[in-house]
Amino acid sequence: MTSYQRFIHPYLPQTETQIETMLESIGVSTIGELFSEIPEKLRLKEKLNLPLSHSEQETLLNVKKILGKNKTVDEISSFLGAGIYQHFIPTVVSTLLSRSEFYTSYTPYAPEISQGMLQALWEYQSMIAEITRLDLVNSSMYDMATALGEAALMCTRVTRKEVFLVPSYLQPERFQTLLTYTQGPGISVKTYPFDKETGKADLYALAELAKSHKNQLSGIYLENPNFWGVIEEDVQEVEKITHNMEGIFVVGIDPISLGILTSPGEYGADIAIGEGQSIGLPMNFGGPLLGIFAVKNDRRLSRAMPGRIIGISTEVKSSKRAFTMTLQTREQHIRREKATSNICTNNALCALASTIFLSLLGPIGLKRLAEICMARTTHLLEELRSIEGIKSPYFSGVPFKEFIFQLDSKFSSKELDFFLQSNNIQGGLSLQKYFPELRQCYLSAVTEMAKITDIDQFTQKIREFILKHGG
Amino acid sequence: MFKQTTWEKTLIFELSTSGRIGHQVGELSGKEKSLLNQVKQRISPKLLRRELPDLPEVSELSVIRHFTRLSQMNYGIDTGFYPLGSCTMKYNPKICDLVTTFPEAQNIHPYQDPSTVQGSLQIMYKLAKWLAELSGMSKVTLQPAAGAHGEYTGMMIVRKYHESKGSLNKKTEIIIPDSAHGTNPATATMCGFKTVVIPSNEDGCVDLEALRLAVTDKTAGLMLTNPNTLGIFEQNIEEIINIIHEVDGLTYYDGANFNAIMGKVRPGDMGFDIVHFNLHKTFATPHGGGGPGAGPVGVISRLEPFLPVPTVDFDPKTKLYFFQYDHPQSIGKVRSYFGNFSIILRAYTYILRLGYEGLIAVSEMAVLNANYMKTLCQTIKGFSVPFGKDSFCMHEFVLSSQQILKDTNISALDISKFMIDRGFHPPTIYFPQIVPEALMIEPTETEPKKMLDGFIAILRDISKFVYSDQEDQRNQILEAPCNVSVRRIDDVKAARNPILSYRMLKQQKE
Repeated sequence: MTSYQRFIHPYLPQTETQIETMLESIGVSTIGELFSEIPEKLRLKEKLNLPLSHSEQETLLNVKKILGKNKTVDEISSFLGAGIYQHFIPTVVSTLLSRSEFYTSYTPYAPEISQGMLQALWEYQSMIAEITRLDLVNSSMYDMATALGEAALMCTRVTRKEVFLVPSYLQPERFQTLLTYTQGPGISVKTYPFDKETGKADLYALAELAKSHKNQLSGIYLENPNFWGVIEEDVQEVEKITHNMEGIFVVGIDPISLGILTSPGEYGADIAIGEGQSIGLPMNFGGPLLGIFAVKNDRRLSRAMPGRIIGISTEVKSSKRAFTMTLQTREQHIRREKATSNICTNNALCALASTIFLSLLGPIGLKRLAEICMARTTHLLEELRSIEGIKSPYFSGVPFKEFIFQLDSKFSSKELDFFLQSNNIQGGLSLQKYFPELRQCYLSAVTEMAKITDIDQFTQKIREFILKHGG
Repeated sequence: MFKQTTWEKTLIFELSTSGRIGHQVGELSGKEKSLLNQVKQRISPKLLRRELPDLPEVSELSVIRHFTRLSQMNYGIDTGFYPLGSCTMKYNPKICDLVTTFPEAQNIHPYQDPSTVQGSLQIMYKLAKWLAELSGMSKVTLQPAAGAHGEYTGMMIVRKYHESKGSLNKKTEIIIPDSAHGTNPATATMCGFKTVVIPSNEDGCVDLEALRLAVTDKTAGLMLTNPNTLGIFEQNIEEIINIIHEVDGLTYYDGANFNAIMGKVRPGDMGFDIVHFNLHKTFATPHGGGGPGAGPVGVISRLEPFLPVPTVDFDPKTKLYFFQYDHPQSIGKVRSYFGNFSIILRAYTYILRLGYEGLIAVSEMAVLNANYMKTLCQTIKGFSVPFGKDSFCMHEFVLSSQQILKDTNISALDISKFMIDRGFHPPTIYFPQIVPEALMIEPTETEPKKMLDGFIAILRDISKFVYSDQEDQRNQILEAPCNVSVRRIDDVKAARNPILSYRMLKQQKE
């Protein structure tokens, strides 16, 4: 006779006999007694509305059936980007990520037994340091949006000033996240405009804005390539403006672009942030992602940095190489309310994916990937340029892997959306919703995943649409 | 006998040979080459990278071997027992990993038309409903990326609530017990609040008198974990919450310890206003060596307007799921897009797999395992349970080895290192800070009795060794760990001379 009606399940190993023995050791006769510390009044009495246990087979069927309602980008010809990109992920990345010694471990609090993850994260920091030419990299933030938020907070921590300048043409998710993050410490976010012709930062306006906040400026943020996909070429001028005002120069990067573009470290950035999704992570409907956070090697900055950092050391009693979490006195578990950030769980496994990705590509592969993105984007841009009724590119600045085209006001963008959708094409992100001045404008991304036939089909369909509507 | 695989700690950079590749990126066609040249000529030469980044140049097999070897020098739940208190390191079911690899989960862009992502939205909608039901909250957002990020979201909601009432300038303080996770005070600071720390009473619970003294008109809210970090259920919870509510403060439930109470008691019924969940703890999604996790947040109905945008809603007319952005009082966004979908999907799968009755059994077995270990561990010479010695713990308990330190000068750190040599991941040590020489043990429900007995046996050995008059037995503990890929690490050197990247290593060598 047992007192406990056991719920038999493969995840729950204790048998009735063992449960009996354990209860006896504790000195109680039922499991219910163990919950007697919870006041009777509070204990749940009614039954909750939750699903019943499903077998593994049933669970798989259920999930498959629901997910089956999704249409993947494999089934659509997609030119969506705007922060999340479709890139090829070499098989080796998922093979290695599925080593469960990595993915079923916790944060490496016991370093001796966690050297594998620690070394991999140190190598991640190293690779990001190589591509950004900034020596200090944390072992990940949640995404680029929160990395931007944390960068703004860090600028204020370092300078003790609270005006942070950002482009008015910032990715909307990033902008909204930044507005949330800056509320707590009372940082004032001001925006500078873009040049209406080139799509690059309006340097004159930026300089004026910076001047008008002369003694309050904590930092200036520039994204390169920017949200319009345009390469910001006046980076050195922005660097001068920022540093002349004693602000911190923060640059947002696409890691792949650094295969061809000069690194932020070389043009004087103090902090570089970025989205690492494009280097080895699936799009996953927008998460998990990988927030890149790199900082110039400067004591004033390193002490104010958020996030976990892995360092290299030795054994206490030998010169044998060993890895460990370091500079922890900045972190919440030690500094509590004085910590540089509350971040604890980060996106370590995503950082590992990117490390494997960058190891596979190497310097030549990264450069080639950047070139292919740039060439194919230019290809689509040029194809669309030849169509009457389409302004392509909308901005004259040089694109990296994204550009904007505009549909003439003679035509309805709603109809175009519908037409493309019925032809199984997602042509790009309609920008008007976020930026009303960009009427009937689309932001389209082209990566190595786009086949020449996809590009041809896309332009062909746009031609068809224009003809059909009297163009 | 445990012996971790040990390989030479060669950096991947040290394997590099110029000209090797590990993956072949495609070729440019003739037309693309000429397009590329044209466009490159338009870029200011200052902006064209002159020197390629010094990334390693290695073959595909080298990459495989390098990271396979690293994985062999890493200890996960799949390797063995991981009683890291507060972290709920339970078995992560493989079916939950499998579903995240489906193209219908992975190959979805967040800006796709909602009609093409109905599956993902349905999963999110359902999981949010289930979490709300389990916690007694009215509505749940899945946006936060981690537990601390959930705390952040919750505290921003507290901020917005007081702002909406025009009292934010007055409501400046968050009350947090001294036993709380470090993320709680760090979060309060990030949200612009001042932390007021209250001491625990002799039972390790909130000291009601201290709480009453700390609560003023400035109190914006309270952050509390229940069961608390000592594994003790705060029996005065209703009174604690009333004290905060009397001054119009909000109460925040840190869900790190939710594994103890599923189907037994709900934070909503205790009176909490805001709750976060750690999907990577309670709902068995793996922690990935540090993340990613997910930290959904639930709120009571009057706080719904403040949730981050967008919420996932269902239109019964069209029978379609959709993103609702129209929440004018929302705190805004706390990150990009909608949440860590692949973690959300894992939790959905886990809940379905266990079901309601299974989740109750999870909490019961977690509590049984913890009490069994606590009962036996505290009888071992040198170890004690300073708080809640005679009561039942919930899913974890905090052991102290202070007596051992006094008697033998052997610390909790030494003890934890010895556990490694016996093939166990050590418990959380030196936390919560109110317990001297703390060893915080959370066995979880997925460990068989034999494993628990094995761990208890090691504590007995430790006790025997530390009190032994044989030098070599004491030394086994002081010298530990010996059976892993590195022995004790010089943390001081790591901090004094930071080498945080290969670039810094090269600079030092020069």
